[in-house]
Amino acid sequence: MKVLNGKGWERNLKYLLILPSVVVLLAISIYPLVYSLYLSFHYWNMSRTSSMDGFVGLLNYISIIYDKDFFNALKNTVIFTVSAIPLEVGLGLLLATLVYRAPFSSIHKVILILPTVLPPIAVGVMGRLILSTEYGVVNYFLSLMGLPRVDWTGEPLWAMFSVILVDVWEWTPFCFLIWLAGLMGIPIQHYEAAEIDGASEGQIFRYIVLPQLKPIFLTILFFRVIDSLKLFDVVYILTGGGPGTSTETLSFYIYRVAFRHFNMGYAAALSWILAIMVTLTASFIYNLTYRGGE
Amino acid sequence: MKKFSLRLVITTIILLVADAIALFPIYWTIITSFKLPAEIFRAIPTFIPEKPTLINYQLTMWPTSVNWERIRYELTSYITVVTEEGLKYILNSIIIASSTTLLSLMLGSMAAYAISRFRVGGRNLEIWILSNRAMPPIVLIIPYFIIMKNLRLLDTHLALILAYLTFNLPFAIWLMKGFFDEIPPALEEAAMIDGCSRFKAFLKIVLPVSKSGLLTTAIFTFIFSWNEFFFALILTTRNAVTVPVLDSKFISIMGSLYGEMAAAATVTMVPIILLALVVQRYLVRGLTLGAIRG
Repeated sequence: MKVLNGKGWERNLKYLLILPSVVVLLAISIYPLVYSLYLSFHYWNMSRTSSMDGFVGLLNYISIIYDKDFFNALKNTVIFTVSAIPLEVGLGLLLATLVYRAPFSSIHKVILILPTVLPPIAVGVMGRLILSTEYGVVNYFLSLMGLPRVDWTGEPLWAMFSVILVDVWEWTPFCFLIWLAGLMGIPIQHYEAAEIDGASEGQIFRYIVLPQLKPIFLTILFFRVIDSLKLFDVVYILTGGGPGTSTETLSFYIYRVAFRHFNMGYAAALSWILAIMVTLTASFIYNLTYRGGE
Repeated sequence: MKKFSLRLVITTIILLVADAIALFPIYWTIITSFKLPAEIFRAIPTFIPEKPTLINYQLTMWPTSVNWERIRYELTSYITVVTEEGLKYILNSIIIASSTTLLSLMLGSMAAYAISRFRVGGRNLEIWILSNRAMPPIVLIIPYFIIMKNLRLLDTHLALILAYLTFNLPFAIWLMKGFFDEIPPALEEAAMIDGCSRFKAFLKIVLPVSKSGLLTTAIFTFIFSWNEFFFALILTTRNAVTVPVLDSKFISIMGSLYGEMAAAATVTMVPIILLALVVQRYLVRGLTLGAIRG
């Protein structure tokens, strides 16, 4: 009898186990998203009225086409993404191939993992401290070498460069780690076979290692592109989007519309456009990964 | 042999330079936090604090402990002195990060077990987890701000705990599913033949076996929550402020309060650095698994 009861209860076990997570995620994740979508079809300046104003249909979305600040932020985000990612991916691969054979590789691994796990906001503070124009240690090193001091966050081009620099410092270790895992995954026999066949080291890297690392490359690209398109924390601390709006990323611009101008409906519409852009890019890279795997 | 050792030297040099670049900004931030303003704002920076002081920690963590008579003499360069109750914020961070971690582990391991053993969800799950990862935080932050305001939950621990579950729970499900997949089902089946119910087998056999998986998941959800800035910036004002938000409070129109900023950043990152050193093995495993599988 007891066994039968147990079985009846067990039959639904899988649903009982998964139900709490589904309920929680419906409440905290799906509901806010639906609300946000609803909000994006309304006009609401929260600083003037305490409840949502009228339905405006697609007006918020149409306004984006005429929004110069949006396109400026889009341009900045794209410039940032296409500059930072090749550096991170390339430097990461270089470090991984070096650490792969180096003595004391576990010590290098411990040290090189740090920038990636640190709070991004602390990373931004670090950038601010060492890149300060008057008291920063980087400018001090430059002056020692007889080079002029740089106004790291005061001039538009340098400010963008600073954001990229800090991001490269923060995320190269992540790329390094994934590259390294990929290198470790290549069976040693492949190298040995190639060596016996008389392949040079360059040839081994080009024809044995690189092709096998392709899925790893796409994985790194997937995560770095997603995160770059969402960049906020470091910009907030390091440049505040400035000077002017020269380092304002999409996330930062939407933050400004929502929480400095309190234009909630429009901000919600902007945030959905950003979400669509990130999702499209991500699924594009994801599909590349799968096509490569077949 | 000669060629080999030359390469070893070059490899070692490059890696040591990389280690130095990774460590220097961290070191610089920590020593800046122990300097008085007079030393911070010196044309030729010092690489070891000449007169180490705890004043920056007193000002950011425990303002009631500050001896204001002394401070006027020591901090002559300040126009205003911002003080923050950092100790309270550390407590907030600990409460919020451990609550989300516990909830993610409980709900996540149940759901992950159902998915791993009964194949609930199938391939859609992967797509859903990935799109969750791709979703920019700002898309959720806007509706969260409004919903929490209406529920009068702004500036409470609960608001941030729920917000952090939105990304930690899917991540925990994903990571745990991978760990459960590695455990042979025969293990529970043996116990079930001995009269154990499946749920009991899950609690008494599967969970203890996957201890290291649970630990890896816990470490990551804790770090994600501890490091999170954007949600905390918007959803808190005074009572539930977390440590990363504290870091951002020392940037004013009159200039940056470098000493305080460095002290706050040090407090934000030191727990993560210690954690990274202690659980390095889990961290590397989680980062690579989370990325390669996720």
